[in-house]
Amino acid sequence: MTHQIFSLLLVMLLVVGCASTSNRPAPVTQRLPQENSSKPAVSVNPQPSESISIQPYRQPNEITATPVHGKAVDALLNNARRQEAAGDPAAAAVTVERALRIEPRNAHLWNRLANLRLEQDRYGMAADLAAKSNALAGGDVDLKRENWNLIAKARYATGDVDGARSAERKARTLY
Amino acid sequence: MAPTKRKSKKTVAKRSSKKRVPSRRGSGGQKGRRNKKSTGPVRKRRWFTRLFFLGLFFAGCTSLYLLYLDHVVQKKFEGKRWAIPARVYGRPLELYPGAAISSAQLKAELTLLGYQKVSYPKREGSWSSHKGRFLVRTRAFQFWDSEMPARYMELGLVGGVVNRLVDSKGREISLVRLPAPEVGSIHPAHNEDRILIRRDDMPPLLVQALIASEDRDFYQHSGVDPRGILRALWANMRAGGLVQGGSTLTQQLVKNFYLTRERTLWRKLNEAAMALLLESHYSKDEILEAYANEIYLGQQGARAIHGFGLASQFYFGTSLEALDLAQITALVALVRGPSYYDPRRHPERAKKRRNLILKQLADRDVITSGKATKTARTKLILNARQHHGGRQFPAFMDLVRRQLHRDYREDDLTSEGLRIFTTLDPWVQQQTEAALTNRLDLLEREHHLPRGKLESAAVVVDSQGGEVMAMAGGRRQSYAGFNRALDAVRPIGSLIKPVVYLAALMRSDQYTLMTSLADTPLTIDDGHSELWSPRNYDRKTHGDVPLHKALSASYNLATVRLGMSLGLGEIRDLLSELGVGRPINPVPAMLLGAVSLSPLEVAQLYQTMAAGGFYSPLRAIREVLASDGQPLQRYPLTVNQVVESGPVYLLNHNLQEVVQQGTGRGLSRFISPEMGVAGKTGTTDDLRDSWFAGFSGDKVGVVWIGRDDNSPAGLTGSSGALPLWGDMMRRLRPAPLILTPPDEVEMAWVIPETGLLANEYCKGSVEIPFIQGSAPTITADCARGASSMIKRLFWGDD
Repeated sequence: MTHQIFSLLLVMLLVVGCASTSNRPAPVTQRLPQENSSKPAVSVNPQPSESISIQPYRQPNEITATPVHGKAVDALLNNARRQEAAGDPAAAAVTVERALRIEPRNAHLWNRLANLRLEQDRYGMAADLAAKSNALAGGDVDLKRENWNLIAKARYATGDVDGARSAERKARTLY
Repeated sequence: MAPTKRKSKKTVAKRSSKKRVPSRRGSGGQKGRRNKKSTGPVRKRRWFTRLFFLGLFFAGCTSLYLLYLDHVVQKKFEGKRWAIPARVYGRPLELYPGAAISSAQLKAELTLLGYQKVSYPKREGSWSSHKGRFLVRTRAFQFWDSEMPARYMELGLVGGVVNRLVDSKGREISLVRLPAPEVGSIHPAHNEDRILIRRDDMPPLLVQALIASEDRDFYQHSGVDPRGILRALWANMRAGGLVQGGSTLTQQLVKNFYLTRERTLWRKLNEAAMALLLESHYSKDEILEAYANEIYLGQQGARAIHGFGLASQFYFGTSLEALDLAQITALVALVRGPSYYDPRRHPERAKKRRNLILKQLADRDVITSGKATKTARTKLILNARQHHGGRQFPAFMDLVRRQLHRDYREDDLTSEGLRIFTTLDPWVQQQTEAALTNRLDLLEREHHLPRGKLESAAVVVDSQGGEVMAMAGGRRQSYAGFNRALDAVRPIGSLIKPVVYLAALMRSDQYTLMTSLADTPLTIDDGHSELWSPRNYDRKTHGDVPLHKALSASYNLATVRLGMSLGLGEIRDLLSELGVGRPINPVPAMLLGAVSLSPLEVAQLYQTMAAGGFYSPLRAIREVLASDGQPLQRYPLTVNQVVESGPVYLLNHNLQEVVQQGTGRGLSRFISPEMGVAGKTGTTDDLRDSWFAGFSGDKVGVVWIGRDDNSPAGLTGSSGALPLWGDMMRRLRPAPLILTPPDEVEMAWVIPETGLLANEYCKGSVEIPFIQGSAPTITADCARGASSMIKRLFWGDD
């Protein structure tokens, strides 16, 4: 019994110790893909979330810019890609907006919409959408870098060279 | 035209034969006159002359009049014949595995679409359900971005979530949307409503039934049917009353199209003449098409149902092509008198008339007599839902209309047949209305308030995109009167406080959530009016309190001190950046909510906060299509960052605390604290206004309760608007609010009383977000001890 308690304590301390020393991204970002994959079934008075389980520390997974989302949004993104390839970014934007109504907190969708607006030469709109994507990106560094580069492009296009350079700097310093 | 010409020829001939008469008279004028009096033949001749000229005059007038009629007939027929009201649609319901949709919601949606519940859906526009398993056969629908064909789908709902969605072959559907439900139309002043149909859209049976019952020789006569008139006369004589009319379809069209409803001989003559003219210019098919669109077939309040296209929707909830024999004959039965044969009010009469038409069809061998008898035994099955025609969601329709008026003329809206796709979520709307009605009754009973005096308004907005999902403008939902959600501009009380605190948190070098504020009495002299000494709601003072506590407990004194040190101008500017367009007078009382806004403006303000400092103008419309399906206008999703993400994150965190521990904690009766809902209560002087504004992960809601006469309502924000808000949001099954900390935010454990840096093992310590670099730097004793203990455990004593 005391042995069990001791090992439990040890594992706990391990987790705490590692958490305070590593540069792990905020936990929200790791949950993000799952949350977005399907709207969680929310009951009005949900039961307390599953009992806390303690696991040994694992190296956090590298988060890549590969979007992870539900099949519904996937289907829409494929559709948008086809529309874009057919030279109709406006129609593609309508489709991505539809996807955003299904997953409004999906940072990748905001980034897609920003790209489409950039393609339509709507620079202000594109930069704003990329900023919104950044706000929801959490620890997805690759996506943030992409967004900052997009903002830089949009600023260059409007003649804001200083602003563009500072955006590029932000993109470079992300790690 | 032909008769006119003939007449004029005759007159020319007469004129030539009598030409000599005036010349003879001309030779001896005076003498002739004397002669006329005395001699008979001359007198006779004079009479002829007078008659002749009179005839000439009338012939001329008649020709002119006929020419005029011809012009009228052609002009109206060639030009745009009907004003088609704009049709307004709600948002289409998106179905996909994992979508949060309850059984009740799906049922409500299908009912709103006018789909029929059956035991097995064989026809388009029908559905069945059994224990959470739905079979749906949709109708085709033209969306703004694509055309959706009619399709069959099978849905499984478990625990309010779609867990199975397959097509007729059992293949999984990743995403499909139901057709957008029609929620209203924008009528012109005279309230005629119709859905245009083309001759090709008319089912052959409909044409046959019309001809059989109204005008047997339609394809033979030339506008007027003398045989038909004789037949009608004979039939009426035999029956001893009016049983049959002799008017042709053309005459009926002329009557409805060009003439008034009076019954005079003159009108009858006009009608016949115009019918002949119409037939001489246009084909039978063109006349039939016009007839089918013009005919008056029903009434709903002030809205007149015209044409078979709309009548089909109105009575059966389906398009004309989809009607069966029983339905078609029932519609034709209405031609004789839509109110007398109204199938909803007089089902027996309507059935009798329908069966007569069935018999007439059988007599003409259009259908077999067996089929006629069999159909005659069937009951009249009508659309369960009364088409509401814009009166169903008056508050939201009002908002749509106002937004449209910015871009369109009233004329275009009421006549061009535009199709308007809005953001209205009918389910959210219905739940909002239900919560509002129930809660107001309950509040009046619980608080012993006079019955029926409380009024309210509510707005629900999508938190990320700014789409207005629902709007209630008052207690009586179907009453299109004063729209309080837009027009009740009332002081917002403490709902302003988050703006004051946000302004502070934006100065991260000066203020954090832990900054100590003095909640102590003060008097302000603004130099204009008398001195102002604000008080706390509980009439107490609380000394030094941390900033987050001052907001969550809604302390007035600390807020006024904070606002005054920030500067009123700064707060006014921030208010406008957050989306409040109304000019605000920066007076000290503004800090406690002496700012009057409408519920919709408050929704805009809180939406910007919910969206993390990104402002999106609230939208009620997504797309406008021309009647031919061409897109006219889109209202795209736009965002504009007006406040840095860091301070908004801190504020929203603080607003979650309001609900968990502060003035909004009463929400736990409705929504679990684990949902992390953020919000703020608002109360104004003498309890005149009770507000609650807040947001979940997906929706922003604003509720106002008060009285129209602006007398005290007797409710605070927490006792009045809060339970309504909670009831409303509970029904909407909100998504949890999980805030994403931006890069510039770090979390730190602190001791609430001292504001010193701690760790999670320190007794009573709490984790608080800070803008990077603004967290306290002085470590509390307990934290120092704990960290040294851990170090010793791992690395031993140095």
